[in-house]
Amino acid sequence: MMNPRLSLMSVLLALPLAAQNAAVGDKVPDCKFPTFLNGDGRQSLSEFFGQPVMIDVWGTH
Amino acid sequence: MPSAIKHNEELAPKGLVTILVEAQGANEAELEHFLWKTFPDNECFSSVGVSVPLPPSDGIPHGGLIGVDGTLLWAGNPLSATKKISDLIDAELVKVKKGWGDTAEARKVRAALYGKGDLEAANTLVAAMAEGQERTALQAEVDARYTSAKNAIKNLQEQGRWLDAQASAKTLAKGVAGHEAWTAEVATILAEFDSDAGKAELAADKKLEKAIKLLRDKKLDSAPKALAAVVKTSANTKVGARAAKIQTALDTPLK
Repeated sequence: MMNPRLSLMSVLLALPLAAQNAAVGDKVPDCKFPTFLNGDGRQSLSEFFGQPVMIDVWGTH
Repeated sequence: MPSAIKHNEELAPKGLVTILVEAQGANEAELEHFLWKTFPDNECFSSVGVSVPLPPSDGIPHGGLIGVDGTLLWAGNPLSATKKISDLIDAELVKVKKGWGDTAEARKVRAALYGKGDLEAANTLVAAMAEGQERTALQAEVDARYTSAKNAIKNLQEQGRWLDAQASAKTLAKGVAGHEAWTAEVATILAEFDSDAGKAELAADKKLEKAIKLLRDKKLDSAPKALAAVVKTSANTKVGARAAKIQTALDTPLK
């Protein structure tokens, strides 16, 4: 049986990538981060524009 | 992940923002637990439960590099393109410093705004521009940056990070010096740190910082006691609530 976390990961990786994903060369749509550890108080992606932003999607398992 | 943390350590002081997004279903407490135990020195912004607007991927790690103007410059597996990513980041950091745009005026405004954090200088440069689309767009950028910086201070206070909030407020005060209305608004924010409630938050945060240093130094035997002391002595403060949240996270291993 598939590990439930792996199954959930598949869903998480697939679902968010529906309507508002940017392709390379596109302006990136805004998104809000519900919480940040180590943040500086900014909570929306667009607030970081003006600086390069590296997003790294990873897993704890 | 460790490579992203290392990259961030090197380049965050120059302006890179690194956002780690956990995508295997951990909740916030579990993520915090994992990071304290595994990467206590991590300074990257770290989040869970968010859909990032990147191209589809069928695995992790994956990621994307967004340029200073909000354009997606690269996407894919960050481990497979370290040199390319590094070169792209370097080029973007030059833009942060020197500004970017089609005209010399736009580049000057953005160099002041993003490179130096001098909002008033950027505002003055925009005011001297001829009326038109470019001026309107740049004024919107300056105003958005100011609003974002103000809101960020409030958010940090709410999160119980009063020392960071105070440092941000002082930086913002420098950046708006010379702008009468902004200076007055920031003075009001700064005054909060001199109030009795503000002083209590700052005192609590100094204690919490010591407890957090123990966590960063991997002194996991003494850190919980230090955290408990902050929770006990700083009840009814935002900082106390943050300390309690870290306590909870330390007791919440990944399922």
